[in-house]
Order: sequence, then C-alpha cells, then structure tokens
Amino acid sequence: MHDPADTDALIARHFDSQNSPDEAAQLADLLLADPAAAAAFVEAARFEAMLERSMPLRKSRRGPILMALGAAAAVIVASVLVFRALPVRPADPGEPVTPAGPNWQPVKTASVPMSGVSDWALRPWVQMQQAEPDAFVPIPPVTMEIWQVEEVPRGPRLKVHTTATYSKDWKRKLEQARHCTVGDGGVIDLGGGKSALLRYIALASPQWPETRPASWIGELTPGEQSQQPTRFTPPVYFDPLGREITGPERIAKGKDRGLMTDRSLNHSAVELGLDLGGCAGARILNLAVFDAATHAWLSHQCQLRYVPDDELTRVSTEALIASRGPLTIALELALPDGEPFMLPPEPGKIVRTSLAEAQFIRGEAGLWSGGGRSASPGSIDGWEELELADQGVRDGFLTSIFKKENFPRHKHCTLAFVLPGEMEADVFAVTSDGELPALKGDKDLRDRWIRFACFETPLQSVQALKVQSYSRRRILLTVTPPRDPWNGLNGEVSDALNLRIPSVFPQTDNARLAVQTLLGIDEGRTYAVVGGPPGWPQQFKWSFAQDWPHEEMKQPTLRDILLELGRMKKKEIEIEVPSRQLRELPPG
Amino acid sequence: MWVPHYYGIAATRRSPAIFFTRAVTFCPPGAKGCRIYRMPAHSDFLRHFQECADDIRACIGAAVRDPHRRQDVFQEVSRVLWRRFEDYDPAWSFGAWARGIAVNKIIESHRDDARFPLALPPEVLVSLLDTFRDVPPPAADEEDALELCLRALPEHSRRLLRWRYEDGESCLELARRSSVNPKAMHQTLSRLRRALAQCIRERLSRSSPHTTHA
Repeated sequence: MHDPADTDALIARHFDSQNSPDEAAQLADLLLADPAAAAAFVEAARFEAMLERSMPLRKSRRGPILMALGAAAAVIVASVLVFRALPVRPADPGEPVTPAGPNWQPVKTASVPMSGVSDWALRPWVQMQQAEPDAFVPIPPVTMEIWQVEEVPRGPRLKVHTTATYSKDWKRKLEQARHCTVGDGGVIDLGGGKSALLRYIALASPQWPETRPASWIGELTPGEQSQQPTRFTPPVYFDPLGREITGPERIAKGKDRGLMTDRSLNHSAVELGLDLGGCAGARILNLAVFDAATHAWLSHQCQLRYVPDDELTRVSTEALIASRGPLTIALELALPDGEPFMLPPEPGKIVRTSLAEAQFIRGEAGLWSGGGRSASPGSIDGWEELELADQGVRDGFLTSIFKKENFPRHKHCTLAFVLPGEMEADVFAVTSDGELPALKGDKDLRDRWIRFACFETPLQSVQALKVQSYSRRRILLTVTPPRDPWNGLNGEVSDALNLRIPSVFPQTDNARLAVQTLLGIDEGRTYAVVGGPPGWPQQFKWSFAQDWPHEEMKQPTLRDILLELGRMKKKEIEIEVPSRQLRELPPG
Repeated sequence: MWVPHYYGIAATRRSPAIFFTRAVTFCPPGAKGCRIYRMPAHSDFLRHFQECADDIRACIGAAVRDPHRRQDVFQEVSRVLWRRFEDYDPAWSFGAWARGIAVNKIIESHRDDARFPLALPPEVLVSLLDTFRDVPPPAADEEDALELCLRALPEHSRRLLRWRYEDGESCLELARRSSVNPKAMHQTLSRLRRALAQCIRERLSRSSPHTTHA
C-alpha cells in the first residue's frame, strides 16, 4: 500500500503538471492498483473542478495585451481629458431630435465620471452609417449616445455604453403609456445599441405595467432625470424567474455572467423580444449550426451559475413554451466579461464555426492554422497546434479569399470574418497601416460581408484584433448583405469564395427547432427580433404574427423590422411615431 | 407503424419533436401487445446534464491538464451528449453515461491528434470511471463553502489562485511570475488547496453539526 501522504503529493503534482514522467507512470500504476489512491485522485479531480468552476477561466490575458493596451489607454486618458473639457449637451427636452443624416441619428458623445469618451468609439458607428445609411435604424425620437470608455477591472477591455435619450414629446407619450415617469436619461445598455432598441420597442407598449421598476430607466430622481440625462446607470438584471439580481450578486453574476432577462419588457405588446445582437445572435446561430440547442451548452458558455438547475430547466424549457399569455422576455446572453463568443477549434469545420460569430484564421508561411478558441489572447500559444484538417476548406477558402499575392506587404496575416448575424459586428478590417489592402479580383468580396484583417505581425495582430473585438469596435469597410443571407451563404457567396460550407441552412427546420428549443419560440406569436440574422424573421416567420408583410423583401433588416413595428404601433395601438421615415410609410 | 402516443407528434431522427414526444407506440391501432418505447425527453437533458456537469469536468480534468483543451473537450462532450441523448437509457445513471462518453472523447482526441496531451493512460481513465461512480461527488453546499473560504484567504493567496484558475496559468508560469522556482510554487498551491479543503470541512461541519463530511 502506498503511503497516503505520498499518494496525495503525487496527485497534487499531477494536477499542477509538476510530475515527472516517472511519477506519471507511478501514479498510473497506483490508480490501477490501489482503490484508495483512485478514490483520492477522483476527489482531487473533483476539487480541482470545483475550484475551476469557482474561478472560471477567462479568455483575456495580461502581459502582452496589457502592454498593447498601454498606449491605447494613454490615448484614452488623453481623450477623456479633452472630451471632459467639452460641454456635453443632453438631449433638449422638448426639442425633437434632428437627425444629422438622412437616415440616421446623430451620435453624441458624453463623458461619465468614471471613464470618459473617445471619438474612436464613435467612428465605427459613423462609418457604418455612412457606408450603409439605409441599414441603419432611424429612431427619430431617440438619440443614441455611445459612452466610452470603461476599462473593466478584470481585464484590458473596453466597453461601449449606449443610451437612448428621448425627446420630450416622446417622453410624454411614454409616460402616458406607462403611467410613470420616464427619465430623460433613457435606456442604458451595453453594447452596440440593439438591446436598447429592443427596449425602446417595448417601451412603446401601452401595456407597460405600473409596477415596472423605475430603476430600469435609471435610478434617477425626477429632478435628476431632467438634469442628468447622461448619468450612467447600470442595468437591472433579473433572473429568468423575474427576480431582480441585486447587490454583489448582480455585480458578480449579472450581465456579464449570463442570462439577462428584463422584467421591463413584460406584458408588452411584443410577446417576445429577442435580442439577437452581439453574442446572443451568434450563439443562437451557433446552436442552429451545431444542432445542439441545449441550454446546458449555453449555460456552460454563459456561466449561468446563479440560476438553480431546476429553475433554469423549468423556465427555459417549459415555462416559456407553455406560456400562451402575454409574455415578453428579452434574452441577452453574454459570456463572462462580455467577450465575444468564440467556438473552440474544430479542425475541418472552421467554416461552420465561423458562422457562429467570428473565426480567426492565421496564415503563416503557407501553413494555416486557426480555431475559434485561438482567437482569444489567452490561447495564442495554441495556435500553432491547430490546423485545418479539411483540405478543401484550407485550399478553397483561404487561398481564394486571402491570396498571399493580394497582400504582398503582409507576410503574416490574420483573417477575421464574421458572417452576418448582426448589423454591428460583421466587420474587422484593418491593416497594420490602417489601410484596406487591395483585393485584386475579389471585388465581390467587398460587396459581401466577409471582412478581413491583415497585420504585419501575427501576434500583435491577434492582440489588436482582440482589442477591437473586446471593445466592440467595428472598423467598417462595406456592409452590403446579400439579398438572401442563407441562400447567399450556401449559394452565391460560397461559390464565389469557394467555400465549402456544410449544408447547414437547408436544415432550417433543425435550426428552427434549435431555437425553439432554446427560447421556446412558437410560431404564430408576435415577436420582435432585433438584430440577429437578417433573414430570420422572414425565414421562420416568427415575426409579427407570422405574417411578414413584405414578401418581396428578401432580407428584412433591422430597419425594416423597426419600421414594421412602427407601422404596427401606428395601426394597432395608435402611438404616433414622429419619424420622417415612418410618416413616409404607406397608410395601413 | 409510428403512432403518436403522447402529444400526438412523432419524432424522427432528422426533425426531433423533442418537446412533444414522450413515448411512441410501435403497433397498428387496435393491435394487442403494443410495445411502448420510451424515449428520454430532451427537455430532461438539462436537468441531467447540469447535475453531472461538474463531474464531467472533473473527469476530463483528470486527464487533460490544459485548461483550454479541457474546455474544448467539455464542449464536445456536451454536444455529443445532446446529440445522443436519445440513446441514453434513463434506467441507468446519466452521470456514468456522460463520463463514459467523456473518457471516450478524450481517448479519441488523443488517438486522432498525437499532440493532444493525455496526462493518464487510457486504461487508467477507463478504470477511473468506476471510481467516479463509487466515490460520492461533493455535496451541493461545498461550493458555497468554497466561495466563503476563498473570500477568507489573504489577498495574495486569492490572487495566486486567480492567476492559476482564472487566467489558466500553469505552475511554471506562476513561478516565473512570482520569481520562485516551480517546486515552491507547486508547494504553495498545494498548501492553498489543502487550506481550502480544510476550511470547507470546517464550515460544513459548523453548519451541520450532526453531519460528518469526508
């Protein structure tokens, strides 16, 4: 019998990877021969798992990325100082917001005490609007404000805070509808703004419950509401049962740790508000792609630890589906720290994984490596170990899109592409010198939504890319989604790019089932889908009482959706939407 | 002949009506001796899965020491479990089934990719499946106790553990960062683990004076 103390030491070295080959062999023999040792080993393994669960692995890493961010931080600090000196004019109550462009809202900047604002945070938005004005959502009574920048304590990451500010007229309507006070501060959200839009939609509901916590709109006193519209107020989080997550629990296990449902949307005219932006849409897509619409998967990825198992089970898989009454649930799923969702590498299936949100492929000296997980800076080291097993993908896709001769100056390149699924996040395109590399013979590429990033130094490129990714910066080239994203995906685009995409989307029934499974979506009900794959509302006829009115519209965009929502509101609940666009809609 | 027995919708492989099918009768209507084949409902999956997710992680962690690879394997196992859930026989332990799949997946990964590091030989992994079955998993409140114990640690110890687990840094990296030799770092980590385990035991015994915890 082996000395238990020695056994424990052997086991401990195993879990710290400090055992020598001899010790590894010794441990193996011991585990086979000694049940007590095996039991101790299993207990140690479980203890390690418990520790890991208590301190879940994060995907950011200090060191080089911090160094890389050092310069950026300096710039940010400088920007903060500069912008703080600038007067920040809140939306003038009573003065309708005047769009600064034909189809888009002016983007304001505002500084917040704890951080500040940087103009680069706004640039992607501006570029996006300029590049595709029609796609940008006109929300006349709402001013989108992007607040930047917050450096979060757990890593070098920047957040964009978006708030929607209402005009006085709209505020009055909302108050009438809600029977409570709306703060000028409006909705505050993290991310690109679609979530705010979703709430905006829900706010327009006449069935707004009186009991809705005012804190959602901002924990502001009535006086403050008119005085400090730009005050940052953290969102209020609710668990799937509608219970508010408060205090440290909220901080520790709130948005960044998982499912955020928002009671504020309950009883809205919209039955289900599906926030498919950002990571959420990607995950939904991912689930569809992998035909693994399991909450367990999501709960794992999203660290849904604060939801008791049985409740999560019940809520997620039964209550939502069983409900037939007015029900509005906004789901927003976020990874810990709000990191973009990345699938782990799966050799040979890289294109599939790219559908999830983003897939980074690195090319170096003709050897392509890639992997979703590898996109996280914490696993840069693992890149070399990952290769695309599928020759067709490697040769067909990479070489056709990312021909080295197209990038003579860029010996080492990082390719990042995000297939459509959200309006805000399909672009990463940067070169080391900030220019778009010429795409010889790939003009069509630019008209699609494959983007790429190319940098001279692989490691820096990865880090830079991650910085962008974390900060959700989008450096836009063009945004011209295909007419039909799914058909395009499987047809035109894949042909053009010589992609070998598994025939995922012919399996739309599976995808639909997957999402049904996940969210309890049921046909024939009213849903608002904001963001996400543009084709989905039409594809699955989930939106707007199963009757998408624009049959000719092959690709309803977020704008279309909102316009349609506005039309519905106008028609059904008599809320005037003071929008030039909406007014231009045909009657009915 | 497939006759919907429960909610009226039969499942097919390609389009599983997962929330509607509980049982399917394989016999013509009116025939005697119908055989009822009970399929596990996918709606039960989550409950099963979450009950044993930690154990699956532990099982994977026993053999795969790279935290990122562990995550990958766990994901893959989760996916397989979901896909093959219909194969699961509810009469048996889901955990054992899941751990078996996990071990198979680990071995398969190693077989397919020689660079996939395996910290224990396959035969040991297989043998450990029985041990995992026989040794009771930690009580539910142990994790709560762990949280409290972690909070009670000195800041520098917590920081070390965060580097180790949250950042996924190896013992070697930690040693380098802390300018100590790896053995010393390993000893420090071991002491911390022992202290945490002891703290958990004490907390649990205090909260349940009549219960003894292993």
